[in-house]
Amino acid sequence: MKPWQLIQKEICYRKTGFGIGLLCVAIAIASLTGALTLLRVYETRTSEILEERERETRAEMDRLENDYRRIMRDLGHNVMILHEDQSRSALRTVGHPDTFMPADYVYQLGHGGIETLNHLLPVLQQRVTWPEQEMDVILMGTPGQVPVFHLTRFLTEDGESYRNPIFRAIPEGKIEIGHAIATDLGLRPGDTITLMGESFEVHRVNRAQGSEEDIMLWCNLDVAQRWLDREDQINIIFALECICDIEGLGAITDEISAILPDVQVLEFSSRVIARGEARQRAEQESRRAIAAELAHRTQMSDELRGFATILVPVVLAASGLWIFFLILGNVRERESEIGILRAIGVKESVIAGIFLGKAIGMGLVGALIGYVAGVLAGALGGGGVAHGSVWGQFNLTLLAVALLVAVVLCAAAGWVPAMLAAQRDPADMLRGD
Amino acid sequence: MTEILKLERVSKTYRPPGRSAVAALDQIELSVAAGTFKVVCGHSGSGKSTLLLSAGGLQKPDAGHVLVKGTDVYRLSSEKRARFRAETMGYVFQQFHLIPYLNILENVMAPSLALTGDVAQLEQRARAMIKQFGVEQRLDHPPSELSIGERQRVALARALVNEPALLLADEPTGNLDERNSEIVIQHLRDFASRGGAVLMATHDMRIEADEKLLLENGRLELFAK
Repeated sequence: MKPWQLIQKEICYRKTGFGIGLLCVAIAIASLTGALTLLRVYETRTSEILEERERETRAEMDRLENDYRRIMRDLGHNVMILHEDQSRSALRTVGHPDTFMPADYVYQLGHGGIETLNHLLPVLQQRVTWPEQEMDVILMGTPGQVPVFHLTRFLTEDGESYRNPIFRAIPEGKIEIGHAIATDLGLRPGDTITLMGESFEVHRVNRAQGSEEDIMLWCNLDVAQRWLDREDQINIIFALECICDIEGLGAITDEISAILPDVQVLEFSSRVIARGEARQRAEQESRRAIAAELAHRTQMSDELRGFATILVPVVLAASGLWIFFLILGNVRERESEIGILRAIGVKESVIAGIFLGKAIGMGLVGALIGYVAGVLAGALGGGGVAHGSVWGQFNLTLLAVALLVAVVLCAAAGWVPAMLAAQRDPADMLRGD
Repeated sequence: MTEILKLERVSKTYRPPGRSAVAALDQIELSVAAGTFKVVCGHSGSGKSTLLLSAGGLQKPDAGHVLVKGTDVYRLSSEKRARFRAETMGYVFQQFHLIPYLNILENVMAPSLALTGDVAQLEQRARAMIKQFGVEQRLDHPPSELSIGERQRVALARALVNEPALLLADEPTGNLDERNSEIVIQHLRDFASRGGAVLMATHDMRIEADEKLLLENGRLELFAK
């Protein structure tokens, strides 16, 4: 017969005492694993909520971005790049820039890795008289929006053009007209007009802006260059500034100058600021909401942790004491048995091992029960069920911790009674006769 | 004949706190040879149990030496003494001290907890002992289902399963009726006749033995031979 067989048979014989011990260990371990699981579930849920909020913020920012894109399209671009020799007073008096730049400049900007702009629109602009109508108009020739090529999130899959450009290229044989021109001449989309001796279909009538834009005629850049005899030339690059940090206004000039040294940059700062402020405010609100949620959940988590920090050691200590008295009672109950075992030559270490082995066995089985109960309770309490993650809370590390704590707890609680059993004077126990 | 147990000037005095000292054993000289059955008589509290516990290496005397097969048992370390007890001695007590959650076979085999020998051989001997003591029908019964006499016979089987040289029996018939007492005494005599040494403590002066000694006031005197 081996000592473990003796332990096993004694446990079967005194089931109630062992059951109470198991319950005690299970409660202690359940409180530990339950608290740890609850905290982990809570923190996982916090991460999920915050990620959800982040996603919502990103979606909101994307939605705002689209709104701004539409608004800015309607407001017009907020940055204008001109040749450095262009006189600003002449710009006002003449009504259009009278110095020109190579059309290639816009592509140099597009490939220059510029960070402060995200929409580029090269234009050849000139105030002319529409000979067929004897009407002063501003001719605007453009090839459409040129990408900032490193901003791949805005580009189509081939990386060559914008996914959703603010200003699309004017199709060949078509023309876009300002609101005042359309009103004066009674034109609507689909009508045909004659300009410089060529026929064009009215592609679109722009909304009333109450500005010079109402007398603009938008055509393809090639057509304008041909009419104005400005082959491969433009005189304006419109751009949309993407600075979100209002303090960063002005950085754009430095950045553009580094790529195109012989240009000047005009920023319509009020538009930039309005755009930046609105966007910043929306982002700040979202961040504030996320921070408030995080703070609330962190506070709750801290309170739970604080509660667990007190509760778990108290339960462990109480359980340890309970196990101590149970094993001590078991030693007293088995004095006769200990005496006879000593008399027949069983060593003190084996007798101590019988009691310690029982305590450790109680710890191992109790830990398994407590682990399952604690994890289930923690997962249910933390709302793990709602997210289908109850089974995900069972993990080997926590099980190992539970087993280790239970074994150490039971071994510590059982140590003194086991030593008492081993060192009791057998004569005292047998002299009862 | 070979001397199995020898007590030399063994003394033991109890000094309970706050009460006067009691000399349980006073300069005891005793020897038990192989093949002899010796009985120590005395009234309750005369020191019989102390004498047997000291002789069995379970209670160190204040003075004197206890030699079992020539070995001074109290010069051995606790662990070695336990091993020596397991290999050399057997005990029977008035209260039997059977382990309640083990069946009869397991109780008789309990000494295997202290031994490293062939367990199968020990089990074979245990079964033979159980048969010899007439409780073979109760092999898988717990002690609580046995009569008092059967329990003492099981305790005797447990004491002898190891084939000890010395058997120490402390009031083994104290709880038994006359018939069961006779059976137990007969088994002790049989053990002695097979070459074992038996030292039995009892208050029953009628029991016949090779030598009867009277323990009184801590002193041992020859009572009958």
